[in-house]
Amino acid sequence: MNWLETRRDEAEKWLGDTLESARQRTGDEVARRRVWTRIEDLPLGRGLPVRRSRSFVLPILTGALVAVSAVAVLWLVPATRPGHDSAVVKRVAPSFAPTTQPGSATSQVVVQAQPAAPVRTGRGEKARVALPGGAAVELDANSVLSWDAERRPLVERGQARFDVPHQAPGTRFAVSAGPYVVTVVGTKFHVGVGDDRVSVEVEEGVVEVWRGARSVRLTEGDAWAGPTHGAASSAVVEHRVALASPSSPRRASYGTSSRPASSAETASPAPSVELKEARVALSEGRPEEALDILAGCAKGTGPAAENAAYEIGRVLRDDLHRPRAALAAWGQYRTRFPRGLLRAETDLSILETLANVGEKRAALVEAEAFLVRYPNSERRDEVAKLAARVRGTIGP
Amino acid sequence: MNQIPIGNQQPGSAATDDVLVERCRNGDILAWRTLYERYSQPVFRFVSALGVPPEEREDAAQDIFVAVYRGLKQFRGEAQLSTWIYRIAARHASHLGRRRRMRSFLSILPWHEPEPEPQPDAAEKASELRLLDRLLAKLSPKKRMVLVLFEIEGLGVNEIASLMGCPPNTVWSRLRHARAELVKAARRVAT
Repeated sequence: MNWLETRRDEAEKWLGDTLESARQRTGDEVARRRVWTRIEDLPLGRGLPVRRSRSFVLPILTGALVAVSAVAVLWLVPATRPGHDSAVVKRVAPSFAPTTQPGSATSQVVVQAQPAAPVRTGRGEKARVALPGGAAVELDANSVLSWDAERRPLVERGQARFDVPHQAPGTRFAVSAGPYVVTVVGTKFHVGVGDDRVSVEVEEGVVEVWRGARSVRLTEGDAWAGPTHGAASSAVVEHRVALASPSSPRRASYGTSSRPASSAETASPAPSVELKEARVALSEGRPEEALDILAGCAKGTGPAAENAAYEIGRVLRDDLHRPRAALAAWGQYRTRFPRGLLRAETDLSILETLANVGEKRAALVEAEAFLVRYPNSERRDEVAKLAARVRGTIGP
Repeated sequence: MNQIPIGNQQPGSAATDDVLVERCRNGDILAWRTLYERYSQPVFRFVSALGVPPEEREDAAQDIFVAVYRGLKQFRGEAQLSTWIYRIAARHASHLGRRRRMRSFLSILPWHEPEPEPQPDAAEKASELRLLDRLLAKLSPKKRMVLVLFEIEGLGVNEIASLMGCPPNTVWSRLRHARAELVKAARRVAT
């Protein structure tokens, strides 16, 4: 860092130190792990849909066009001006009743500001319904679409094809289907709900099918079907049932699944709602609340529980300044998840915490065990130095 | 999805990038895992330094690694794997930056709901880093890119030039200006 080697004033000193910190920035281990759980089962050898980089001009022009169109719609159509009881305004809240235009096999559903009512299609009928967030759904014949308690579209019966534009960062579009919740960022997919099973087929993009704390991730061309154990959407939260187990093989409902059945069956770990709530509570300075949420989440099973079990230790140590309680929590993690994905991180956390609280001999034992267990770790040097330092202070 | 034990017992964790790429191309999920472990931290750090807000970083990293995965077949090894991944990440971060600026522009329109304030990353408590991010945000995107790649990621000038598609002298020039502007901004904050 030659240009700041001779630091002339406080500002340059601060800048030099902060750039050094930026070089050491590790980011959030759990976030990195979550990303891994989303990409680890990429279909090897198959092309994937990725947003291509675009020129600078195109988004500007598109944005300008959207802005001009929005102005035109808002000011030229009286019924949609702000302040009026308009369909556009009401469309934001999914409480509307549709009316179908007669005289065609595929009827366009018009959104109206009325109390919520299900959309039903009869024999030979189809309907297209505009949904909040710019999404749309095409209902096939003999289908019913309504809204669940959390105001998500709920496919009660039949077949529905969803077309969801890319959602704003941090937001996901969700559809209920029997006991499952299908979440997407932006995609096209089909949902079918029959008497005894729910099926999902992905036309474009990536979707996740959730049941309780377990999920399955589907990519373009994948088809999935799961049993319907209770049609009520509220069952999603109440039933913490594995989506599939080796003894209950999942069927490819449309016969177009491009993955081996065993691969498609495995529940894929994904960020749970509880973990997100805990992160929010932490960022808002409510560590006790975060701890409660994490403790609840850790009682479950799967990756979310594993993440929570590790995070409990971190909150206890870093936010509540209770290092010994943190050590106990990480000890529990190791007992529950001896081969967990966060095992190495947990071992390191225990080691660092032991050193910080002055448990030098225990820290040394941990450090030596770490070096044996992870001979190729990128943090090997760091741990070796720590071990040498501790050894130096406690003597032979 | 195959469950892979964590730790560094996985075979190939010390493999060179060339070997890893070849194994990834052959569908070796262990190699893919190793590649992710090797580069996920730099990618997260890089997109953070380029101003991608915490709530978008996971999605950004996911998109970057999907692009890496998809492009591995076309990767000819003319540049280092790290340079190639940085190039993908830089392109993606620039795209997100343009999108953010567009959203920010649209948010000033009277009927548009204002953008929510980005939440600080709970994992990053250091207010210094947040302040550094704010100072870096004052630089032009090109100067910021050069400064981040050189000062934080430790890439050489020739590597940056290859990554950004410009002559090395341009990189030096941008770096000099970026450093001067950053020091000036830091002094302004200090006073």
